[in-house]
Amino acid sequence: MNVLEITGLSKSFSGLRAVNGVGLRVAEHQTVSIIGPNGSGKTTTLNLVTGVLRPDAGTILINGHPLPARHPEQVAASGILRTFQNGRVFGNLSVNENIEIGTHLGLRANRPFKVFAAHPLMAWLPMLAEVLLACFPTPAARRELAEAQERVNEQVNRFPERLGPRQNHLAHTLSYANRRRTEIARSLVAGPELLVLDEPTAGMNQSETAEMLKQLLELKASGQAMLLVEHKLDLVMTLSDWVYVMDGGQVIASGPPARVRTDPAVIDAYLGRKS
Amino acid sequence: MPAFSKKLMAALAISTLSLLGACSATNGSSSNSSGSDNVRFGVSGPITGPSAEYGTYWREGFDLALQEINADGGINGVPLELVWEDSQSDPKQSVPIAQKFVADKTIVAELGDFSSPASMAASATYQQAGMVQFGFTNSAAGFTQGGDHMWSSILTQAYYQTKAAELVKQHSDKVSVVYLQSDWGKSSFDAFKQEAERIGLDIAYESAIQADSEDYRPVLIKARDAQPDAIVHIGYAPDGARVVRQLRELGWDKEFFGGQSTPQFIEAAGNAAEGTIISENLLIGNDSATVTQLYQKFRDAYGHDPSVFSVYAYDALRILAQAAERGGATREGVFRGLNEGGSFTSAQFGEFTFGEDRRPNNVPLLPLVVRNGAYEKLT
Amino acid sequence: MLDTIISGLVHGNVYALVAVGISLIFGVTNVVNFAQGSIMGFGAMLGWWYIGVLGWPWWLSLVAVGVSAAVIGWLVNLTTVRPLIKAPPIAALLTTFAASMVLDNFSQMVFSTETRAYPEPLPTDNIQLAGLSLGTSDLVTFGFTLVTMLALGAYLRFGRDGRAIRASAADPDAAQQMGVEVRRVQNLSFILASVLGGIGGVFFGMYSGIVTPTSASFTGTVGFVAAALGGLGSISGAVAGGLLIGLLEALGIYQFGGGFRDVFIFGLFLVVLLVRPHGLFGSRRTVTTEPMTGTFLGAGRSIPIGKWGWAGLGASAIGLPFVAGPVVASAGSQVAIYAIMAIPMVLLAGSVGQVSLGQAAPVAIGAYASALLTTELDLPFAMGLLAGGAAAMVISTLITLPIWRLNGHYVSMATMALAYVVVGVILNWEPVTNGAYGIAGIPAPQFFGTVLITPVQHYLLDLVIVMLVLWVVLRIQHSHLGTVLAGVGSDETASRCLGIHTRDYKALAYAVCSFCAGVAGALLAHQYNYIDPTVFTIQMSILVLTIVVLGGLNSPFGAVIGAVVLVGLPEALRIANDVRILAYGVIMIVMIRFRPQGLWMRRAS
Repeated sequence: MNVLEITGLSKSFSGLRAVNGVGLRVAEHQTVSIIGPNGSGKTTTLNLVTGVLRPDAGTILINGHPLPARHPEQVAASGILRTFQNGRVFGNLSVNENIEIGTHLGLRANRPFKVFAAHPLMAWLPMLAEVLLACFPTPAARRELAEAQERVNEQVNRFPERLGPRQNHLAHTLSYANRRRTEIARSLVAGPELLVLDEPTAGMNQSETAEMLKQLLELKASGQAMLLVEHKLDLVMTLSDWVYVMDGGQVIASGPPARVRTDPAVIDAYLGRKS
Repeated sequence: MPAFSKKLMAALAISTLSLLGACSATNGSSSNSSGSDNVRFGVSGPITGPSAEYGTYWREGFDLALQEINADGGINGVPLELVWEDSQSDPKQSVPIAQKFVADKTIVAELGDFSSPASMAASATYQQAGMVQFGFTNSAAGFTQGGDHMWSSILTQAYYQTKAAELVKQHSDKVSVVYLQSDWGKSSFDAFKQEAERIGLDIAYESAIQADSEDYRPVLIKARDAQPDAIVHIGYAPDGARVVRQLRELGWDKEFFGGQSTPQFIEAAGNAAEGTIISENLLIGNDSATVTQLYQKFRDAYGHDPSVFSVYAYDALRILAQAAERGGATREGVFRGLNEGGSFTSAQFGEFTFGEDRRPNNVPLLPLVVRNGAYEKLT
Repeated sequence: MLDTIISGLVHGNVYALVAVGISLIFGVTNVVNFAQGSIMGFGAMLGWWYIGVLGWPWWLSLVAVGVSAAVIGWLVNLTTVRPLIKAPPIAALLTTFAASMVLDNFSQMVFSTETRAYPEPLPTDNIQLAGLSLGTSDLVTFGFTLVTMLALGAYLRFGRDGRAIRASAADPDAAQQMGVEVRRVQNLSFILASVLGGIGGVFFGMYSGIVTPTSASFTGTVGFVAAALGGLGSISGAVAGGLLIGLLEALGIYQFGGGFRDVFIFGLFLVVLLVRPHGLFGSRRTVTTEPMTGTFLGAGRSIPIGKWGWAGLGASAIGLPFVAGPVVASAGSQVAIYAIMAIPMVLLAGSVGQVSLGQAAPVAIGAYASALLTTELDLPFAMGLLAGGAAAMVISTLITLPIWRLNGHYVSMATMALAYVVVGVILNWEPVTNGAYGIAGIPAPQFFGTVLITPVQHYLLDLVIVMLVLWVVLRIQHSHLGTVLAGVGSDETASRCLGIHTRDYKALAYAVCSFCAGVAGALLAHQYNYIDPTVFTIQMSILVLTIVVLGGLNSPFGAVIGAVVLVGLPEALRIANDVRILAYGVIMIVMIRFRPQGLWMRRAS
């Protein structure tokens, strides 16, 4: 079973084809990476997958099914959660609150009628219910939020020395590395079927990168499916089960890390050009 | 943190209370200090804001009347004094002013506000306190219906517009009418229309206009194209001047009734004002001695003729002073003075009495026409 | 028909003159300059002074007006826009609005409030066309717009500074790195726009024939609508927007009468915004996706008050009228009613970062709904109050529903347009609303047979509702819902990728504000006993927004302080009658410049 399967994905920006007929697959428990030079369409592909951008053409299947509407909300609800290239945390909220927002998707007692949320007119019902619960929480709602807070703490403890002491700091005061960690914790707390990471180690030094690699390997060992865009080849080769190489908006090669590493087309287009 | 906030709160609470203490203290002291000296009337009106120019006219009229009254020995020998408050003619602000006046025991009557909504919002407060509210520009019929302490020296729009429709009927059988979209304009138009129907004056086209528009042409084109004998404007000087200018630009050369009998109207409308007929007039061409004298006094004091609003203010203060003189310089006294009947003197109406509706009773109008850039009596 | 079309185009040309300046400044600085209309009004008065009073020839007067306007524009930029250029758009939006208040009042002080005939340096009625008299002045005005549009277009495209202007509009940081002096370019754009505005004012005066210092203010507002309609940042779009509004306004008025003007102009604008938010000619990319408030005004946290603090505050608020008397109580109920409107705005402007410039709309709906239900259907006061809130919430939220997928200036403009449309509908829907007459004889607040008539009673009732609203808003802020709302305002895309339906939450924050505004409107109606459409002005909307900005966008209690300062203080400042509004504008500028986080907020460390 494939968690994610895309075929023929294309997107142009004012005539420029940023992504051109891309296809890729992520199976359960698998870690898949996309590599390629700057401007090769990696991040655009992620944005298309997560609904931030709308594709011009192509199909995206999640667990074998197409989504009725490809809004980011629906993509997230179907179990795909992501981080961003530039570390988009909620700057005016604390680390704790940032991660708490990740629990939103799974809340039931605090979000009655949430199935109506996608409908613009019916959304009144869940919204008013949330206001009422904010003012007068039911015991079940309180219990659920306490449980959610426990799960937040679990995620914070994934990075005990980094996020632990900063749990109540406002996120805009964090270092780049800690913003990334917060983002990952925020996505993981939602219990994603597929975690999409856009350059999780950008801006990190060597020891921080090694630490991140260790944590990602742990995640992988726990069976978490992941889709990565990353520049640091060592990390990609150690972590991935499968690697796609993109250039000029197209997939030019794919395969297990060992094979991709030696593919002449890859060396020419990616490594060759880089040096 | 809690310690900090507690301290802060305590400080805040203390400072609030002491501020209040200070407020009430100053209130008290002001009423004690000047109370025994003068008879005081409150004025609630627009000194700033969109109606500020009317406040300026009021001041000229009030100042002149005040000088005269005090030169003649004030109210039964006690000097009269006015206490001004700026309401911007805004109902939101006229109510707190009313509270302030009512709370100040030295104030025995109130003049204003300028617009009827601003006055009427405050009426309940004055009525409850038993203080006369003298709304001398509030031609909305509802104003004096607010209570028996609401008095006015201005005729209602119903009265003016009934007379206006009769005058228009003498010159034409079919008219187009434009009127300001405000409670004043709407009620005036309704009165006009009612009378027009009664006397068989056909209204071929009618439309509201907005005071803050500078372009009335789309409305006026349609008014013109309805092929009336005359076009009637119900509004004030600035919009009247624009209407008549744009009407003349549209090639309208027949009768125009409208504008306002202020120097400002002729100045702003320029040549286009020629031939404009204005029915709502009591002063211009009025050669009674009181009016002639008043005009002379104005020219001496300010170097120009009075605006009608100055005269309204002048008369209002004189009437209220007469009432205070007859009934006594207290809140009850002023009310008694007005309520007991008898005739009052004023520039606009000469000798007049108040009617059932607490407004001047059945007074004649003096219609005007603009000729050679000046108002003349319509003959 | 032809005469109506021509007169509409001539009028639309005046709108275009303002719109060009607004669009130019927006294109360069991303700031919607509310002061542009005032600069035009000032230019008109200066022209009257130079030509009419001093008797200068028209060409010299135009130069003099241009130079004076340039100085004003430079000053406006220097004091209100440039210091805030890195701040979120709401800051400059409010300060330019304050600048327009200062300019208008300054103009009234200098030129007095009298209505004046405009001098005619050029003939205004020497050309006959389709039953209309036009003049050389109208042709010159048209020519001026055309030349301005072409020259600005060419300048932006080919000139060295023009390219710099476009570069800094696209990305000020990158432009700066590439050696563009962003400051100079922004200054230049302000000076250019002001010169155009000032000279436009002279043409406005000649067209209108009659001027007062504030007579251009409605034209200024419509010019702003025209710029947005054409697409902010597009010069030719601004001209097209102006002409289009002039034309449709004329045709609409011709068909339905002059009373429908606002419904027509702003209704059209609202429809265009909902269907095509980037305007008719603008590019989609100029739609700012940044939250309006960001971390500049919203930064930091509300100063905590604590249980004892609340108790103390509550007790002194209740004790206040008994110590200070009915005058203070009556001012206090004004403060309280505005606080009820402003407190929930911390959820909208603070948490989800959207600015409503039209809170007068739900206030009006609430006031009318409650007034009508209690007078026509004899519903009890409490029911009217709740129904007022509910009606305000449902109607405002339903109409604005499509805009909540947008952000920034478009939300502000749509809510402002809504306020004009609501008042316009009330004015014209006479069988129900009684039109301009308003509704009189609204029963005083009443509970279980006890009628509340004295100011102290009104104050206490309002105070109870203030406390309720404070409690609800604080509860929401400190709940999971509050966290989600803050997340939506902080980063909408990231929120959506976490499965949060951001549009629903933005609409929810607006709905809560609208409900409270409706309740406030109902209180107002029952305490005045009388309402009419003139109560619900754009000034009311701006005041509500300014109150939360002053108090601190994330601080509900700050909103109460803001209401005390901005509604209570004008009473205290009553002594300085002439300069009151002037002072109010200056306070606003100084406040946003030097304490942007608000009075009741601490900067985040």
